[in-house]
Amino acid sequence: MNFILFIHQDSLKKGITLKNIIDKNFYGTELQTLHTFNSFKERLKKSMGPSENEIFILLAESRSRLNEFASLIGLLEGKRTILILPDESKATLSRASEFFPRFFTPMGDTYNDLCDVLNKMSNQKQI
Amino acid sequence: MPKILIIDDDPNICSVLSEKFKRMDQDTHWSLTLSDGLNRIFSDEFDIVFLDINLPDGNGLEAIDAIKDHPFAPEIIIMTGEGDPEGAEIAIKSKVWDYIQKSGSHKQIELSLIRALEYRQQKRIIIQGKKIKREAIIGESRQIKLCLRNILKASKNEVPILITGETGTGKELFAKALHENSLRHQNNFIVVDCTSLPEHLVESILFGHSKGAFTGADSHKAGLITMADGGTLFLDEIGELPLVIQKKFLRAFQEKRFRPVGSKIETSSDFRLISATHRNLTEMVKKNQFREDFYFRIASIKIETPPLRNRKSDIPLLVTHHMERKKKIFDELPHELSQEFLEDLYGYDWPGNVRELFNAIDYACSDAFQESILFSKHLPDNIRVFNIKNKIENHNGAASDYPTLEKSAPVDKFSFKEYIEKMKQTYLSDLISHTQGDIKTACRLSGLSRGHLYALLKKHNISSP
Repeated sequence: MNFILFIHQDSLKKGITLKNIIDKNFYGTELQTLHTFNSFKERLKKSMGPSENEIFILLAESRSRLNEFASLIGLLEGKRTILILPDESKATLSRASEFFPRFFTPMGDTYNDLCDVLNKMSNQKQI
Repeated sequence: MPKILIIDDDPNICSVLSEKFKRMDQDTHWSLTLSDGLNRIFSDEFDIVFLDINLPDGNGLEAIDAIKDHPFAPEIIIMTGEGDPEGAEIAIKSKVWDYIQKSGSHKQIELSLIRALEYRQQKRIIIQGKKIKREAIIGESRQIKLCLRNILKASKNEVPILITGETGTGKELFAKALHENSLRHQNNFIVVDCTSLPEHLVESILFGHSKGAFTGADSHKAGLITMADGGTLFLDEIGELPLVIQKKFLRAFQEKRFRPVGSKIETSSDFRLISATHRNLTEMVKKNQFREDFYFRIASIKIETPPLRNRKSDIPLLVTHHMERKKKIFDELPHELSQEFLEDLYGYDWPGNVRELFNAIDYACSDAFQESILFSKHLPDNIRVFNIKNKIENHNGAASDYPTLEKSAPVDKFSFKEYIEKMKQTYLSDLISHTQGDIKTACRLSGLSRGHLYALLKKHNISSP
């Protein structure tokens, strides 16, 4: 199983907790962390085709970052995507729903639920 | 001008009615056989069909369901020579517009037609006035149009919808379209993927929890049901929802009130429920894997998303859409499609549906790299192997001339009529399987008209594309 984690370079501080928690809970699982939009696009390009072994975790630390991701929705279609959202306002949730995320949680959460979800997803085949 | 079709084997009746309707300024056509009539219905757009019951090549009543499958199904007025109460009951239960006797007055026929036309006009205004927002749902096939029409109809009420269909058919896109076309479109559309949620978390994620409800619950947290208040809750792969949660959810859904985990206070949420599954929930109910009361509550209206093998005419549109999207994002050099590449896409049966098609296109583009035209050799091996094997089998099969019956007919078990019907069913089933649902090829091979083939498939309960 591969986790592809996107934390923008401007938000490394905000994303470090998330990265550390995933690192700690999924020791031995391949975790690739990307910090720029272009590198993420390139990574998506590589993962064209069946991607049962990949889970994309996107940290959208702001609404504008979430909007930025929205331009890639077509390419995330069919991919297993988890969103970390800046808030749970109506506008944010509305935008998030366009990704059909397998799971979403607000930034600053303990990420315990996220780890449980990742654990379950890691052990199942994609439907 | 509204279009009317009369299907009756009596040319005199057709001629008299046709003249009468033309005088009423109606564009009138007629067919003397059921197969010709069905063929016209499926290759055109009629508003009203006058349908006789006893036709030389079939029973009009048995064709009603097939006609109703047309994306713009005409209103049907059954005409019969002799009054048959049972036939009338079948017709009315099949939602035909009227059931009239040919021996009745012309005034009665005229009145029935005028009322049907008025209804048709009203229906047309409603449909035209409400153009469906379909976003990423790509396709113009009959199957997709039928599905979109059902989505449009369902979006105008609050009834729970169950979307069924194979993996990769885009059930979530249809759910989103339902929400976008509903009165709730300005509120949240909350997606819950039931496959990804661990059993011990489902309850708190759906219903929320209060501070201190369990170890780690250090603050109050709203659940997804609360977030869907005023909007739509989409339970994807609902077949995976644990039985114990189904019970609690059913109550919350019926009463619009529920208690978050660890909370003493009830909270409310007014949401519309859309569910989806690729599993057979009725089978799960029989095996006690899914609650029966819950099933009946969530499945008031069922919409089935068509598999790609039954709508292969949409393949070029889907491929173009996907390639355009990729080109825009990656700034890639455009690829052209060779004829043999397209033929191979048509030849494959796509068990993984649109998702598998897009994956295959991605693979082919990547394999072709800077070569500007995509050929079959760029496709994934499994698709090429499937098509080549298919071609070899078809070639070998062609040498075997007419079928031979290996065993003598079980004359003690079946009457002649029953046996012939059984043989017809086997033939049709083999035909559809052999052509992988490609109706055009099926018509060519069988020598049947499109309309006649659809009617036979319906009659023999064989799922047609």
